[in-house]
Amino acid sequence: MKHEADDNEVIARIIGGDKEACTPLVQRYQQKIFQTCIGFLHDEDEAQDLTQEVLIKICRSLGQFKEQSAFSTWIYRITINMAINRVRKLKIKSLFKPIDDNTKVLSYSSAEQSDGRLMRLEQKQMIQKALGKLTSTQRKAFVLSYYRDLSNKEVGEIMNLSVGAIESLIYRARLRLQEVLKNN
Amino acid sequence: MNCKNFSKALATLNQGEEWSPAMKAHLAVCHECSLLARNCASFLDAVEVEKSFQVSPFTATRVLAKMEAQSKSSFTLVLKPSLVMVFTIAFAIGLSGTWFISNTKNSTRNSDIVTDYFTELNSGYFIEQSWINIDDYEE
Repeated sequence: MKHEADDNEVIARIIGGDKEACTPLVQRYQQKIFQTCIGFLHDEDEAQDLTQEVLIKICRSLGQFKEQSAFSTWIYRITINMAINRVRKLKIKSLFKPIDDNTKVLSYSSAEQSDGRLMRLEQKQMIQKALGKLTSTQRKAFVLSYYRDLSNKEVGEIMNLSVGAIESLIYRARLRLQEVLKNN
Repeated sequence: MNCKNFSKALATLNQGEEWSPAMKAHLAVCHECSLLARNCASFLDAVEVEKSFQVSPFTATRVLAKMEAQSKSSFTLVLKPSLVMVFTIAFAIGLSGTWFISNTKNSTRNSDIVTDYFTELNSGYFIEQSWINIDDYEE
């Protein structure tokens, strides 16, 4: 409750033209936004970059926040939309890449005998492959639930769905993931 | 418990939750399901690893700097087209002004010549005379 009151105060200051007031807002939400971004992108650098873009967008469009939902809900909606757009852009970009960057990293790291990097790369590929098989709504629900540890009620508020619908989405997502992992 | 029921039970199992005795019993006899359970566990571990990544401590500074830079560039974005517009208008005015002046002068000169040529007493004589300088050569 105090958090919401703080948010409202900061929002009022930013709308009033105090740009410095963005700092506490950014510090409060940056990790949450970053975790959501990484749930969609699975790449630290891309997620860092997108986090900054999301925060800029939030600070710039605070005037559009109508207080019809919680401030955090509004932030998560913006983050998810921007993350999905970024995923699409990266997919299109990857179509025009002559050399697969992952292979490049793989050979580089094996030359460097970096087992940690290799393992991380394999994990990343596994997650990307598995989550890529989910539908858009299943993926959103999964990321918010597993990467952000939000309750089904909170996820429902963000996605404008009932708690039952979220439970069903996550259950189906996990069954789908099992199918993918079975064939892995 | 068969494989299908095991799969459903696994999908509803929360993280850190204990496996039911029926699931444990099935795992002991089914190699495929034990492999699936292991893959699922390693998948969730990988998710945990990704989740543990920390955002850069310089994010706030970068965000503020980018916002500052964007507001400057947006000023330039507004300024640039207006400058282009001003220069285009000035160029157009210059061009049309030149055309107007030269056209006006030409028409005046042409009309003067035509008037002189056809309305003078000895029409065209003086003009032709001045062109070929007949008098000068005859003297």
